Amino acid sequence: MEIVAESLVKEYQGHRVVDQVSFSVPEGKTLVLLGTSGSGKTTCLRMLNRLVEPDGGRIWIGNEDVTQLNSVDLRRRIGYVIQQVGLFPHVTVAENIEVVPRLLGWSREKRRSRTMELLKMLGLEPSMSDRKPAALSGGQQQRVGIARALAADPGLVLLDEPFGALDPITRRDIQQEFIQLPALRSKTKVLVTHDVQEAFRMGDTIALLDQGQLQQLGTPKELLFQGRNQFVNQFFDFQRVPLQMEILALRDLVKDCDTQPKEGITYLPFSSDDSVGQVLEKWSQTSDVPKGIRFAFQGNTFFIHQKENFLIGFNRKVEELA
Amino acid sequence: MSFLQDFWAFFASNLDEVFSQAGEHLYLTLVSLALATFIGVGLGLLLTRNDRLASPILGTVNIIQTIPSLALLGFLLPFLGIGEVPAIVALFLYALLPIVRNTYTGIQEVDPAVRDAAKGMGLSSNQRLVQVELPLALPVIFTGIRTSAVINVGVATLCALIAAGGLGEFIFRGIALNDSRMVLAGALPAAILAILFDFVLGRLQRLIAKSFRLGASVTLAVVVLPLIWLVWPQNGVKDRLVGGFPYEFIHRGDGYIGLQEHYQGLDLEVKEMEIGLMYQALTENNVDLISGFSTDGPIIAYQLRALEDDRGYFPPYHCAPLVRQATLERYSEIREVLNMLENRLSDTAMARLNYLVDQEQIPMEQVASDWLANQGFATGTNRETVNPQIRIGSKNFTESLLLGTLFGIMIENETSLDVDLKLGFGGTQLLYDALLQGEIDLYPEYTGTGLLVLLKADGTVRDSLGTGQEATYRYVQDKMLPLGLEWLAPLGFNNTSTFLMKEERARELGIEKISDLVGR
Repeated sequence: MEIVAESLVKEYQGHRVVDQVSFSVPEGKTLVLLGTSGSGKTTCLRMLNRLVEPDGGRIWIGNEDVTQLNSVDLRRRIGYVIQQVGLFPHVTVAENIEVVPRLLGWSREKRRSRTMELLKMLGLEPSMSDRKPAALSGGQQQRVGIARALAADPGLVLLDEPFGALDPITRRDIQQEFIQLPALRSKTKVLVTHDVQEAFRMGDTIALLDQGQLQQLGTPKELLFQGRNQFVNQFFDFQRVPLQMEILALRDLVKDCDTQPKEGITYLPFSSDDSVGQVLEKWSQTSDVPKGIRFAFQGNTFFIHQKENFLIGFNRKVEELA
Repeated sequence: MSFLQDFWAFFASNLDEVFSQAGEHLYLTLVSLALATFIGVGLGLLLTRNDRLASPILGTVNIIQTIPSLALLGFLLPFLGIGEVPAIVALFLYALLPIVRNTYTGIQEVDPAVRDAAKGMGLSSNQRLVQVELPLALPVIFTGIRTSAVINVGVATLCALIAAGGLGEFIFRGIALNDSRMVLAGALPAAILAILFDFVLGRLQRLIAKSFRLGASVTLAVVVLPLIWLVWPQNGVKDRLVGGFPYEFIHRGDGYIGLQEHYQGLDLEVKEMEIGLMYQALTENNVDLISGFSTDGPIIAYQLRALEDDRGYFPPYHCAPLVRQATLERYSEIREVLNMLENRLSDTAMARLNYLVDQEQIPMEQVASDWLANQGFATGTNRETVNPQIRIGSKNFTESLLLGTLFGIMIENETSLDVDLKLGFGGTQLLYDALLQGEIDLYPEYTGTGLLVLLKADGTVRDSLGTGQEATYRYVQDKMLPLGLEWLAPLGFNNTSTFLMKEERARELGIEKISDLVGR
């Protein structure tokens, strides 16, 4: 489902919390609404499933004007994940996952098999289905929350800081699984976060908001290297290098690579899509014997023999883009 | 025999009444609780959907709760009369607050994240209520219902005061008769009932937590059944005359049971009630007649007829000054002066004076001196008391206080003696002792009280004296002279127990004396 939002406005007691925000998300892509608290990002998200009614502007989801739809029906077609998870504490995990399918009138067998499928997909034990949410860890609860959002196979999933309440290690794990989850690949996603790393990792496009106004809408690369104004530039300043490492992948460094392997060096295999950060991380963990890296791009195989060369290549690329 | 054995013996021999009272008690509590649950939960839910109403409605319900239970019963009396209906209304009002408040807060306190998730997933307002909010608020709501149940079992004992029955009958009768077995026979089953209620509701709560549908239907059944009980046509139409009596009147020696034996065939429908509510019940036509005293002020205020005790059952309570002989020897003029009041006050005249003080709120001194002036006595003197020679006492109710005041004015005006008033003693025995000790010189006393309370005459003596004024007066005079006390001339009125009816009702039914009630 494609989403188009046009000139959204929301006012609370005369104060504009969302001011003329427009964006669009192509089908199957991820938009990240990024900003500090009070930037209006969550309000924008909640307007999409009409938990907040806009005071101005229009929203189309899959060519349908949202305001023309029954809000309850609309929400059943949209997956919704929030930071606090909000599982119903009085029913089992399975019953939580089956809420929307039940509302949609699915048969018991269909619900049951879908639940089992989702549990498996999210790496949860099938035996968990009969437990109450309180018996689960925070990470498991959020996995159930995601399963619940995906239960009725919606075309669009809204995620409001879905990993915000998790500890850093669990967060990274779930983020990684989340990105790789096949069931999510094809879905249009809108994700709210204040975590810049998360935004860069998950977003195809990022909408950077401040005080209700859209500062810049673009790919991570555009935001990082072609900041439209001072706010955008300053926003990323304090972790610019890690972000650059996150964005630039091996394929961006092709120019600085050799096409011939060297004698006496073992090469670690990478994919051309792997980010500089990921490569560096893995490379640093295996420093006992002389090692280089190897990856394939557009039919050719490339080699980098030394970390120094790798970093020089990275720097050159950054300067080129800036 | 130990108290416990004593109690069990009493309990066992009154088991029928214990069960019937417990049944009434259960009925009152259950019906009011069912109503309160229905309306309270509904109201609570309304508040969660309409936040603006929350503060005024919770405030109102809160205020109802702060009204003392007895005051609430009294307040409802003019509108709903006495009996079950006002009792159920009062209990319902009391049960309301915990249920409304707990429903409201229970739903309010549902985790906002859960609420948000439910809404975001596409549950409609009603689905959120039934599938999420109610199940999650249930423990809190049930706590409210359980609180109300326990409160209601307690307050329901008070409903005996307005003739609604229940275990309060035993309790209040026991208090009035100073019989702790009787109090316990009411209190113990009431406590058991409260525990039982809490237990059953707790079970119900667990059932609902396990299976919402099953539990909810059982709860609904428990709530609906008493309501059916309430509206079920009651057979037995009111045909007998209804008498409203305070608890002690029914069981004391010269009370209703003895009266029934004395007037063979007398069979009234008896409603026990609080003494202070009786006149109201009578004027509101909730009862046909009440027991009272022949000089009560309300007789004038409400135009009541005191029925004649034509077969002479109630002992005479003629009033006369009771004086120390030592005082009379020293100031013989006192006898002369107070005897001038002999037979000057009829029942009606005394009732009228009581009425002026109680209902018209005229100061006692004024009522007393106006009456004396009317009778042709001087009332102008009101000396500053410097060195009192005569101390006058009284009991602590209007008639006695008024007569004490009246004696004082009389003595000051008709003699040169200085008077000190020491009115309003807490109890008859206290006052009598003060007289014997010489702390006071005289006070107004009733012959019946002298006979039964001060001299503690037994049944044979009472029977031999009958209801004769002369005989009783002579007897107490003879017995007290050796104690150094003397009764002066009676004032005329006889403040005895009597039955009171509204004048028009009595005329309508053609009832003038107690024997007219026989067979009605």
